[in-house]
Amino acid sequence: MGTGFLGYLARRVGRVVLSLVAVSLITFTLLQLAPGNFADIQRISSGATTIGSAGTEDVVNAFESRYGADVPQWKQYLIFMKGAVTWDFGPSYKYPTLDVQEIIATAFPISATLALLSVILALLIALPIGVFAALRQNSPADHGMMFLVTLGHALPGFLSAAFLVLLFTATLHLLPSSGWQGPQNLLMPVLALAIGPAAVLARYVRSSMLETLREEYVTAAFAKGGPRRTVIIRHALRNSLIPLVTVVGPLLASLMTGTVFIEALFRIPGLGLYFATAAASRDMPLLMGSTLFFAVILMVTNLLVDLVYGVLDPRIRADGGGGPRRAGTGSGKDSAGRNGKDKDRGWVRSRRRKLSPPISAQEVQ
Amino acid sequence: MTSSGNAVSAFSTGYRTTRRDLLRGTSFLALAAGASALTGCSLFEESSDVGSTGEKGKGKPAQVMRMGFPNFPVIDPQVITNGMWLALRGVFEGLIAQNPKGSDVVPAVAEKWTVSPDGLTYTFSLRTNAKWSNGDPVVASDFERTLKRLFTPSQASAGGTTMGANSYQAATGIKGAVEFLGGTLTDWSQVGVKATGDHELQFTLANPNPGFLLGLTHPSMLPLHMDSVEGKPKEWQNAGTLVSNGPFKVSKWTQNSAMSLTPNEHYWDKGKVFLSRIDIELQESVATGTATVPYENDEVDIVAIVDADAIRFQKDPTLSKQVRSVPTYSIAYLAKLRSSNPALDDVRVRKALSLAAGRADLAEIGPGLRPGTSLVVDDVPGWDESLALKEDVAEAKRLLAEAGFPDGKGLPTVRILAGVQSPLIDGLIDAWKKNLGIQAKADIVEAGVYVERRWQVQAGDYIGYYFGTFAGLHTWPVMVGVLWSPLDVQKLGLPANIWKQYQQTETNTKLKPAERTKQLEDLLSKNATPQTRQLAELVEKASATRDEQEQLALFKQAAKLRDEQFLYVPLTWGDAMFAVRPTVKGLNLRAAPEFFYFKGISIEKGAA
Repeated sequence: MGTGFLGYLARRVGRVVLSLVAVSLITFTLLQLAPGNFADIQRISSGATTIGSAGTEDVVNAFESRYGADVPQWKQYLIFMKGAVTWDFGPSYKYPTLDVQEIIATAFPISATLALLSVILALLIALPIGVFAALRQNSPADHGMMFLVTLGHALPGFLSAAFLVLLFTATLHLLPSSGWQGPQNLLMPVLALAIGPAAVLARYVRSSMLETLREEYVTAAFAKGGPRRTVIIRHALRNSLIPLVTVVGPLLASLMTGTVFIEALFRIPGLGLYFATAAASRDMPLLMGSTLFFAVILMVTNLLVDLVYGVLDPRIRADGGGGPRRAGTGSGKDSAGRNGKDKDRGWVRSRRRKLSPPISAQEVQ
Repeated sequence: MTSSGNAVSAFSTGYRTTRRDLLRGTSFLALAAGASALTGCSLFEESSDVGSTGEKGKGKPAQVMRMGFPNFPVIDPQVITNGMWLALRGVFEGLIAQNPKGSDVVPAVAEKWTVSPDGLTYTFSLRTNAKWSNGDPVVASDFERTLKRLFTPSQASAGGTTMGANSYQAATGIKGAVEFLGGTLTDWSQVGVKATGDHELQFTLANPNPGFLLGLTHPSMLPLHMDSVEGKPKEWQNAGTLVSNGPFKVSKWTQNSAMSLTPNEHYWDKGKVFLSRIDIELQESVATGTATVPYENDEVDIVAIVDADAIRFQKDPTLSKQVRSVPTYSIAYLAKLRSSNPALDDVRVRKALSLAAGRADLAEIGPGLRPGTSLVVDDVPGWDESLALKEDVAEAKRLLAEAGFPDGKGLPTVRILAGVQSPLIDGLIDAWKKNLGIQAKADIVEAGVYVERRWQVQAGDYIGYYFGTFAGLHTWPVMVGVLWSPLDVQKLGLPANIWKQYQQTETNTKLKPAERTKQLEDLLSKNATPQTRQLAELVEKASATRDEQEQLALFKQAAKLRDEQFLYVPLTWGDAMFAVRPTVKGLNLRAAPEFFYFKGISIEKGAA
């Protein structure tokens, strides 16, 4: 598997790089097409008096050509990308005292911590609900829980955040409304961020669990006479968690790059506010830097998920041993052709297991 | 068939493998957790005394004021952000400051000053004991160097550019400043700012300006420690690095979250500095209550309140006693949009729309609003009722009919272009529909679209106004000369095709600055309406007049003439409202954009 794996990895990394170039080009082009410029928007959004008309145009021109006097746009792009390759995005327009990579270095650990805690909390909520609902499929308890879960899914994070502030701060006076001074400032944002994902994950756990419970090895485990709890947790739940990895990865990635409203409301100095204001204020270096960073996080997470998935479920490696492949891994011809040409190429781009609709019994046989 | 066999074997023999693999999978999560745990010590704000200022206000040390303030990206007072107003409250100190009423000036870094008989030269004597927070003496050249930075548009090497949002007020009228800023003057020695000694600073004005001294109390006139600005162009604004000369220095700053100020131990007037610390919550206005919930939860002692929150506070029996309001400069106004449809080029139509705007009703919409009856607000000294517009729906209808749109028939839908939602716009549209029977519509667009579209010539039958709010110093030169300046009014009065030509000339980079300025001036002098040209002459004459009564009369005449063009239309004047805890003593609210200074404020424990 060695060279095959490395080759696979190289191909994937190559694709990541190509995608990043595409992302940067699209972002830069869109930014050029967007109306307004940084200086004008800064002026109206600052709500303060301005110098009036005198000299303003020259100031704007001088500012916009900081990448060099009257540099054409395509050259600005190249100058930016040249720096980006060496992790030097240059100073932000809006935060001129900070380089974009400094902003990311300061704010990312904060957003990442929030994201991680939220995902862990979401899993802690989702697992019991999902398992319980699956075990009592179609019972009133199942329906009730799925109703709550759908409600939680529909509830936007900003609404639950506002509700939490009303409850814990405005009414009970238990928690500080906002700030970033200690663990007490984590409770509300983490909870607000976890509710939505918890609902999504609970549904995944339920359907995945239902699927696994129908597997013959589970039946066999029950038949063997193992305790019910052991069968459910060790055999059924463990295996039904595997597809969850594909959901949790991107979820974590999107939360890690910051959540605008939650961070702004709770005054959390994470990436979210920087990212949001970058686009709104036409801050080119910050927007480009943040978009590329987001893309890297997302792609790397996806790559990791695929790798982890392959490790967790060896069948996904499509090793051509004639073993069962997941539904949707590709046609048999594809797989056979590959095997005919190169026996080492065990790693292929895995298409992730589709959870909905659950794989039915006839597909498995 | 084989599938089930494999599955069972996975269950029976591959159990340990699965477990290990699962662990491997979760190790990815654990790795991320570890990474953040590593940074854990610096994850939160570094503050040794967090506990003592924790929520509920228990055991907070004496003389800590906690304050909510709108978030800002930089504290550089030469860049227009909310940071410059915080800087003015007491991080930096200018030559002079405003008196408690905001009507006159008192000494600050300057002990005294003299004005030449022709009103053109101001000589300031700086106190010798004024010091920067690093112990350096504050000298006259600090001011000169700072102002040179202000007037140099693209000083990327000197601590960031002013990014087109330069905070200089052109009405201050320093000789050569606007020209230097615009690039037409490059010789700094021609600009009217000179350090004539270590402790003597001289300003030369282009014209006498009775508002000059008040103009010096603006953030753009604050001094910076230029050695650190130039020596550390990127770090000079950081907490701990920022060298300031006001009563306080920035000791902690978590971008987008919080800031702490502590006393500058080298400040010359330490006897009037009572607070041992100011903790500032940097708030993004993302939702109603963002500012007030911290106040009601006893996390902050002072916060600005607006809209629904202000109404709620006013109705609450306890909170209403803590509400303080100050008449301020915020004016909501309309500005005519250029359009290929000439309907609004007729001043009768514009006047009709203004006479039927329903300002009394608009003022009912929000707390602290008053009908805006002129572009110059009524607490500018010398303002009188003769400037106030009197609404008259019957006259509006008559004018509309006279202009060829009886009962609004034939008039295209009037649009209000805005970058943000405002209930004032909805109220105005209702008033127009009700009073005049015309069609009107709000056009709310994204900020970038707004800034671009409001200067364009609108195509087709798109006619209307853009909506804006403005604030400025309460002096005649600012109210008539800077806000909706004669140049702005002249440009707005240009016919659509000439305006297009004007814009092309403005953005023509092939022209030299001087050449471009001349071409633009030519376009204006040939095509501006006689009234707007007269306005420019009046303001110029007023600025050059030394007799105060005569000058006031000229400014008033100009203000009246400007209002009668109905190119810019005032809607409401707004007051600012604050909730201030009774423990805060010595806080003096002024009608100025920074509202108060930190100096002199103390916290009285046990006051209820």
